[in-house]
Amino acid sequence: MSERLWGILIDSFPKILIPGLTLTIPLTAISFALAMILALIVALIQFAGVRFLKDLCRFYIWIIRGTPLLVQLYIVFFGLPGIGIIIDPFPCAILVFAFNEGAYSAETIRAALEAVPRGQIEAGYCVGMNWFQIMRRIVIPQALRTAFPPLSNSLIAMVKDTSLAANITVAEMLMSTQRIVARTYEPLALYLEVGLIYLLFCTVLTKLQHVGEQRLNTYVAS
Amino acid sequence: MSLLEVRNLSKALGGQTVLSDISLSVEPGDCVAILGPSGVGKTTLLRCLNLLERADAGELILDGVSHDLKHIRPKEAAAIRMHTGFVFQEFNLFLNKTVLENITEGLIVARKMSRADAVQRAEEVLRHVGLLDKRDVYPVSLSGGQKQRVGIARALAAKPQILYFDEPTSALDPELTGEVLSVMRDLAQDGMTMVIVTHEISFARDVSNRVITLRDGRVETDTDTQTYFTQKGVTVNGDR
Ligand SMILES: Nc1ncnc2c1ncn2[C@@H]1O[C@H](COP(=O)(O)OP(=O)(O)OP(=O)(O)O)[C@@H](O)[C@H]1O
Ligand SMILES: [Mg+2]
Repeated sequence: MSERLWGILIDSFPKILIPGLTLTIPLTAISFALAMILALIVALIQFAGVRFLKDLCRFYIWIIRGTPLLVQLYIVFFGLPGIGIIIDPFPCAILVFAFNEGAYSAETIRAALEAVPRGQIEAGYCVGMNWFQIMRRIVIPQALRTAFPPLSNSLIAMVKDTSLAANITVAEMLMSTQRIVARTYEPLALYLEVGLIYLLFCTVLTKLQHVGEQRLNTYVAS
Repeated sequence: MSLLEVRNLSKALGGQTVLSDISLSVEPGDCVAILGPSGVGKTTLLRCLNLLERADAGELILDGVSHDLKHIRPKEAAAIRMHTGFVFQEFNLFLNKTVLENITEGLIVARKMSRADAVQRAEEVLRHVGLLDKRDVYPVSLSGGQKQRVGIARALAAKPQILYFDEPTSALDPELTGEVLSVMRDLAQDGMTMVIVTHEISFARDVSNRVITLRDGRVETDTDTQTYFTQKGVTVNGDR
């Protein structure tokens, strides 16, 4: 490889990594945390079968899953200003990613809740607990263990999906790379470089997933 | 006055009448065996009594307080369960809790007992069923018989006025039923009020003081154990 290319790669590394640390990671972390809260609420409403609210949840999931994430980003960022709702790029990206992931994860968590044996709930009632106590102390912990691997999957997918935020002017890793490519005309090397940084982030998350699974598996057969 | 009285309980499941017009009463210290062929509604009856299932009609009088089983509210159901314990055929131990936590959970969360008191009480009942050494393991590493003994300890921990058992040994290997039955026998001897659905006819004969049999969703016989087995002769071989 030429010395010039090495120079570009080394020079660009912090310029890509820093937006990764200051934008991609916070964007993912905040969006995913909000998505989990939303997903748990949406899943619990359906699990409990709350009238009307349950239909609202199905509607929300139907809309989100039926439309592309990029279209959702465009509607909120480019579309809403048309009716006077203007949101800055970063919060806009968080909003869209959180609502998008919330819908998918709600389904994951709902399935995990439904997989908890009915007898666990009945035993909870029989020792005197009410529905909320049973959910909090028995059902949700068991469901989260089941849902942990697929949710980790979603988190890892989201790290990469945040690159879509480049389309609404969030200068995250991909956009930073695009800018350097525009200056240096080295697309292959630079896109490989940013790809590697994504891979690095996801590798760390995969490791964390393993640690998490180990800790959650304390009560299942070894 | 009876500790528990049930009047005219009826229940349909999936469009089929399972229980019709069941009336019975349980005196303090009674050990009532409920017998009957498979599918007759024994489990359904116990579940209705502990409000795991909503009866279509009927009245339940527990400790002098009357409850309309059809219109019971969650709060009222919870209040009734504060006086009862339930032992499941399939154990239903909390999988994400240790043996000790399985017992303390209800005491702390539902009965607002202090943690220290709850642990002390849990250790007491675990000693009673001979499983104190298993206090910190998870249910997954227990044998079936041990699981059921924890199930009994859990039901017992809150000092219920009445204990329901739904075929507590039916999910066990034959060689493990003995340890569970012996715990139950001790409880009966201590004067615990128990209602036991069982297919263990010889256990019913030895331990219960009353036998209720169900047939076609109704109470067929309700008599003291001795009379029941004398009239029936010595046909002791499970289901009729
Ligand atoms: N959810 C349900 N929907 C429809 N029918 C049901 C349901 N649950 C139970 N049944 C029916 O109700 C009847 C009574 O069932 P139940 O489990 O109470 O019988 P059981 O006397 O406990 O039987 P076993 O001795 O086999 O445990 C059975 O005929 C069963 O098929
Ligand atoms: Mg049964």
